[in-house]
Amino acid sequence: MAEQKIQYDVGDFEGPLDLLLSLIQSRQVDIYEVPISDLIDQYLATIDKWERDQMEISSEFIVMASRLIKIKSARLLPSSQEETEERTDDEALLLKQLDVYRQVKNASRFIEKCYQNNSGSFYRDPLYLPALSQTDANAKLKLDRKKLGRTYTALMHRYQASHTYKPMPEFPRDSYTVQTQEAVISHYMSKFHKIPFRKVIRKGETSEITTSFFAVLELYKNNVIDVLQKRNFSEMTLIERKEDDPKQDED
Amino acid sequence: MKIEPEILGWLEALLFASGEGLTAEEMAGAIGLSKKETEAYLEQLAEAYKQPDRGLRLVCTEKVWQLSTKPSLFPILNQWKQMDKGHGLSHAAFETLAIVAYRQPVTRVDIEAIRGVSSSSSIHVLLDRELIKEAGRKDAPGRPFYYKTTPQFLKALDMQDISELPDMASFEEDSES
Repeated sequence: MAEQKIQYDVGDFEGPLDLLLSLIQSRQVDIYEVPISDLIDQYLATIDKWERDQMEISSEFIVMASRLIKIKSARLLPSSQEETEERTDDEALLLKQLDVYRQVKNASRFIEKCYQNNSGSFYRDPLYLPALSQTDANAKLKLDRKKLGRTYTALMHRYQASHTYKPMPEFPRDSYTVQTQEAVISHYMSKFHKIPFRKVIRKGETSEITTSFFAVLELYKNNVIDVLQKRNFSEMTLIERKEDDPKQDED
Repeated sequence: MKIEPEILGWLEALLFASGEGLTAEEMAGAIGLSKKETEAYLEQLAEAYKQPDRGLRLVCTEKVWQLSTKPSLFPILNQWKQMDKGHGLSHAAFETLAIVAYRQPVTRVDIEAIRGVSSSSSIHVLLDRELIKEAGRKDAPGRPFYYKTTPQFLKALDMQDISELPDMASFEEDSES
């Protein structure tokens, strides 16, 4: 077949409808007169070739392929009715869709042409026009020298207040760090060997509790301590782990 | 009607000063003529701008008259300053734009049903260029946005009104050739 010689590239098409339309147009027949089985075969062959060439095919092409296979298989089934020329609903829907898409595509070409012909023109932004409002135009402009001076001074004060250099505010240092809490816990460990987490907390500040908790995690990770907890949210018990002793629980 | 050349000058001054464009009514009020007379003068002025010795053109979109440089002079302006012509719309975007223009208001689902492919990125590009805009929501599951074209769209196509779009059926012959 002559049409088979035409090379189609997936990137040339906006979608499956576009491909179908091109296939129809290459036959130079009207949409409603196209031999639908041939069209389906050609579509499937094209998709097949793309797949063999390992091109990336978007899912829409595959969805259309399955739709076409459904149409084709319906045609192959022996029909109880004698008229085989009659289009099935699926076919009619597809052809209608192709027809609408063709019109839209043509319209888009027209819009594109108008758009290109017109692009590259420049519009000015509105000028600043010092318009007088009705009341201002009627009011006589009165200037009070003293008032003007006062306003100016006030303005400069405000300007200076917001524009003079201010030293950086001092941020309080974090009173707790993971390192210090690690040291605290290690100290307790060497003294008591086993201690409930609550005993590690001295002041009960949030930052103290959180850094202590991180310190526990850190120590646990580094095999310095073990942690016991009976159930969720209950008290944790910190237990010293002996370095040379692989047995962890001494109790 | 006798054309008085100086009135063309008045209108030109108004259009230049306004920048963003004026309606015939606004200009009529300023020059003391009727709207109809003013429109006749504006047509005259638009015609005068078509001469090759003029670098501007007078466009009218949705009843607003505005001056702009002639699109054909873009290469000259580009010699002076490298500019973005604002092209770069893909075929997909133009297809989407055509569907919105001819079938507005439409939802994204309507557009995708016609094109057979996902169109949300095209819609975003067109929204970004202000060629289409959201126009309420459809009373359907998910309350999808309706889209319609903007005055900017008409200006981009040099059309006064959406009715200037040719009938869809008039494109039939193009596809045959």
